[in-house]
Amino acid sequence: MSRRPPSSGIVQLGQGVYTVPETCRILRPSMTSRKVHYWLDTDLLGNPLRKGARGVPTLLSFEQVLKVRTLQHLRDELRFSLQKVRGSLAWVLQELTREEWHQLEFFRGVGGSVGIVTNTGETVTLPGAQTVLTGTLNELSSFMEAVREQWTTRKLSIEGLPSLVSDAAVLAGAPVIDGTRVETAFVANLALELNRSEIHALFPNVPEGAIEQAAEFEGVMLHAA
Amino acid sequence: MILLLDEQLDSPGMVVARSLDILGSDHALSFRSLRTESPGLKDPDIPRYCRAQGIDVLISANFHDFGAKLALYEALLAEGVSVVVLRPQGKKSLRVEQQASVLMKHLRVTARFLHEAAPDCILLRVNESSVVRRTLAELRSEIAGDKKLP
Repeated sequence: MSRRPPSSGIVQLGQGVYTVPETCRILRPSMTSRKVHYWLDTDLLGNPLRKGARGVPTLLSFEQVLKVRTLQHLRDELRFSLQKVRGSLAWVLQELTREEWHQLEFFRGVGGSVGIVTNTGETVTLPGAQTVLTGTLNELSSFMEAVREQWTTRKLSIEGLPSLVSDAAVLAGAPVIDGTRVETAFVANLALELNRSEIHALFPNVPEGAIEQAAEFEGVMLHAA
Repeated sequence: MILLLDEQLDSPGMVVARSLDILGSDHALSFRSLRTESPGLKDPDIPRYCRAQGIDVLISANFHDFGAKLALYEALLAEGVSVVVLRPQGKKSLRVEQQASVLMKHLRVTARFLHEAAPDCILLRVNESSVVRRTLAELRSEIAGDKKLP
């Protein structure tokens, strides 16, 4: 076969590519296509790899999916108002994926507004940031660390299912059993005809419980022998 | 020509690769299994691995839709690896017997398409009833939204 120069296509191998429905599956249960499209349309995520049209799905990069996860957490868990602190969040999202990472430490500024100290000592007061409690800031700092770790490893964890990941470098980010190229979708497909022990027999090296987690993620039942 | 079954396909005893290897020899095709050779390989390492091992084709599978995976296949083709994608049909699973059955059923046409295309790389979508062929240029056109796989 011919040996061609590296891809000039939509992505390089290892970068990961996601449809919006797949993004929502990975960031389950609270993520919806509507939210993702709204954040795309309002420029919080940058341009998609491919803009969707009728019969042509929108394609997102790993970076964009990670940003969706960040926005989701800040909005749903930490109760940040996107409308009020849009500028601040855009800044945080930008920092998150900078090659030169400055660990961000959040603090309460005058009147409870949010400030940030980077590990180079730079202090930034987020424009338009809302007032927050100190506990929220601690949670924010540790969340941002966790997200940064996912950016560095290019692996997205799947909530509540520790054996599963979306690894940008494995099958372009399709949900898989961590450390393998076994897709959760394949486990679901096998479960159409095979029982639990037959599926386990096919993957003797997969960690205990991982097949069950894949089935749970896909919403399928594993049948007893 | 050597074809490599992706890690999640085949069985621990390489039943699919061994069966296809026997029938494939008539068509100058040889089959191997990634799960026993190098499990856990990352996408960017596949072209390098294939080059080092003299492998020409990766046999993969696709279950939901082609949306994101097309970009992966395009990148593999561009790096010199042809791709055969198995697709399940209806309520049938891609269990080991079914993988072997579908690939055997279309072995002749798969071999013809791959040999005709060489030295260029192609994508073959294979299910129980058909084999659909795409060149890299056609695939790029489809990804751009110009044309859809039937």
